Amino acid sequence: MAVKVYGTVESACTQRVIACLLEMGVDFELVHVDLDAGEHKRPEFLVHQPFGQVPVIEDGDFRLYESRAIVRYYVAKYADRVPSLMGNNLEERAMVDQWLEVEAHNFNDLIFTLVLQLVILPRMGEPGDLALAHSCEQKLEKVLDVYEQRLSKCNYLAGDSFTLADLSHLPGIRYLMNEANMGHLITERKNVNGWWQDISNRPSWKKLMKLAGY
Amino acid sequence: MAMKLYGLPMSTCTTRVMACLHEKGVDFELVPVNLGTGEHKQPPFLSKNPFGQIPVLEDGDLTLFESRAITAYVAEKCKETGTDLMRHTNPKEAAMVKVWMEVESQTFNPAISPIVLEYVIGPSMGKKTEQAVVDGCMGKLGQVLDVYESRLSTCKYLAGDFYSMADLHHLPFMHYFMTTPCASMVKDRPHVMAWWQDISSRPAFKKMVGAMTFG
Repeated sequence: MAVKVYGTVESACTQRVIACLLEMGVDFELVHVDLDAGEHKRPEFLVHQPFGQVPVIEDGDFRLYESRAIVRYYVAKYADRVPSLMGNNLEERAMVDQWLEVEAHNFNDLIFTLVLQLVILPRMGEPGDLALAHSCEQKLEKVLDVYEQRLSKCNYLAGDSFTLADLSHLPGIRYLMNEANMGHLITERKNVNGWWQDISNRPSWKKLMKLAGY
Repeated sequence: MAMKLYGLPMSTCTTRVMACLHEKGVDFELVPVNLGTGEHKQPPFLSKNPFGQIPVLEDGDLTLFESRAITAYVAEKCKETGTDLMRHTNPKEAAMVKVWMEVESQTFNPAISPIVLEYVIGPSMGKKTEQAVVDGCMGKLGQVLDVYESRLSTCKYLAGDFYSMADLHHLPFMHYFMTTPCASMVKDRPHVMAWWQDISSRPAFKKMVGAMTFG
């Protein structure tokens, strides 16, 4: 029975989960949640995700939320399918975890704030805080300098194989390069750009792009 | 050879790791990093963590940063000893632990850390408390704690009826938060308060809490 993914194909966190399921060849069904209509804040949804956020997965009678917990669960569940997504031994796994945390704490907040101020608020008819967006951009420059240095030493963030750590960055960088119009942050850095070209050309990501109609 | 933990005994992220090391009974040496002189923003520290943040763990020739990656590594390496923090033999329990670890990381931490920064850490560095920042966070934190209250009325700990890494990750910020004027937000929620009293009375936490003060 296919895994049900409750979310939207445009939501970065839903994309993180779908990208992982596509990488692993796990059958899934995307159940659209109408965020514009506030479906995620209604009691029927809050029963499944009390913080009122997408995505949520339903795998038989097992439910899970938080995209980074979901992807870790599936990589563990199907470790025999694409074993290197979480590393092949304890130390490799630690490196994957480290860069997943970097994505969550040093990278994501900046991208999220940028996209909120430059794209989402204006779409809702509210003014974005350009000063805040600019400050995020400057901080992101420093963070991406660290990535540039890291990716001069190895092909991917956690080492020489594509892992969850790289996958986790895909949705955020896509937003950065498209709706937020900040592609220069990536393209100006040789190693980061090379890495982005590589990971965004993976068949699973391209499939997701098609699904999302980009 | 004992693990080396670079950090400070009152730092939230360092103590997150220390709590895990104590729960697992792991020998480690705490190597202080002088934030006051900017030691963390220069070589050689930058070669350990290019983001210039504490803590960093050195275990043999493995160097790791990001406190939540470090605790995951320690728990995995020492999964057969000490407290069973990750429930590794039960995939569904393990998944629930991960859900609430993510909740702490993505939802709880952003709501609570500005309050701790404004009331505790900032003043220790001579900064004035910005009430507007605190007020802005209290609404969000209240909503989060309402979810926690509801969750903890159905089970004793966040991931289920067992103490886990999900609870442990909350220790440092909860500790400092309870010293602020906003502590009533926890005290007013009986299940959250009972949970806090339980997890903060664990020996592993009591071992280090004495040093957890910004003076």
